[in-house]
Amino acid sequence: MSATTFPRPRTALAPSPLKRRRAARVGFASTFTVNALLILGSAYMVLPVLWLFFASTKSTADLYGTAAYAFGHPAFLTTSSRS
Amino acid sequence: MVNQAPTKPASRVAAAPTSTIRKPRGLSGTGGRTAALFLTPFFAVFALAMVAPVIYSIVLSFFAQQKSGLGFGEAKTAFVGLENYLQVLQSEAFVGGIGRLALYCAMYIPCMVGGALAFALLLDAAVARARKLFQLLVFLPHAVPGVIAALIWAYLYTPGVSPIVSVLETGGISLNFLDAHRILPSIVNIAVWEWTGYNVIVLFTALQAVPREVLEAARVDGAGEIRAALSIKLPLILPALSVIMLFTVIGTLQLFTEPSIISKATASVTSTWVPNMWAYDAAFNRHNLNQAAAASIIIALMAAVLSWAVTRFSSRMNKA
Repeated sequence: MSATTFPRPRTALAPSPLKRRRAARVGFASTFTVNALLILGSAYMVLPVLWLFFASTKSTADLYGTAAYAFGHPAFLTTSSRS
Repeated sequence: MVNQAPTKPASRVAAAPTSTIRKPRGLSGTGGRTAALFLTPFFAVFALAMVAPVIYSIVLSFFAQQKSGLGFGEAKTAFVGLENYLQVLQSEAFVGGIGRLALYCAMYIPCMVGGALAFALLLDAAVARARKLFQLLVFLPHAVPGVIAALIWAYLYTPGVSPIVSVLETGGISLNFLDAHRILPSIVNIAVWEWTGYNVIVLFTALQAVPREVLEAARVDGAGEIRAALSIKLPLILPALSVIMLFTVIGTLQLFTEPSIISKATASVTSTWVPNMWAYDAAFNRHNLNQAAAASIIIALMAAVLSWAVTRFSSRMNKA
């Protein structure tokens, strides 16, 4: 089907420079907004799971003592926690 | 040809009586028997696993364990009619639980459905990048079991452990998410986190089925992305939206996991905080199975009435 259609004349479709510039400007603003909102939404979904991942590496003392998104000190490396 | 055309149907009509007598009887005979054979396993399991427990709990709800004066001797099971239902409905905790559940619905449904709709429309926007990645990330919470989700957020609400509380405190805001009057929004947040991604996927799939020529026509007519989203895409995914509403309403009535996990972390959530927790408490802490059965029947009736209302409302909206 698509093979039988005639190619459109390019000149008829090309937008005027002013229009193209406007489209590009609107395009950047909306691209930025849409993707920023997507990133924000995904962060809300992912950060708690990520926290769980980091918390699973910690001992109780590390859970309260270390930064939330940092690895704990595993028991088999430090002899202090289980000796 | 012109003459033949009318005769053909006529002959068919003439032949019809004999064939209607013979064919359907033969068809319904074998079809009915074969269908019954194939349907038997379904109905057997359905009757055993769905109908029998419901009937059993209805029967249970009309009886009560009665002990003689001093509590010695064996308890007798006696028919008490609607006594259990009256006791459940007179319980302040149960009615208060229904109130809390209504408040929870009023907060959760707009937040979750609105959020899912917004995220799905953003994903479907022409300028969105890395759609597969965002889809995966947004669906991630739904892969986490409900109990684990409640546990994660219980930690994220607890001062001292929570990065959220500490960040807010460095910003000069001290919030206790587990306060008596802030616990409801906190639980709403857990449910929103769990369920938004799932519904985003449902809505995004519906958005994929929106005919591209309709969108193209709208674009030619001068509609921007936002206008196309609100006036073209939104009406076309209304059926999917109403399915989501149905599942969400039924799901909210079954609220149990999140508050019962959170109740271990704070005193703001009592053991009879929502109707389901009341029924659980009646059955396993107060050992009053009959009252628990009555409460369950009341919850099931509420779910039935609400889902009927939602399907009625959404079918009317889809017609309009």
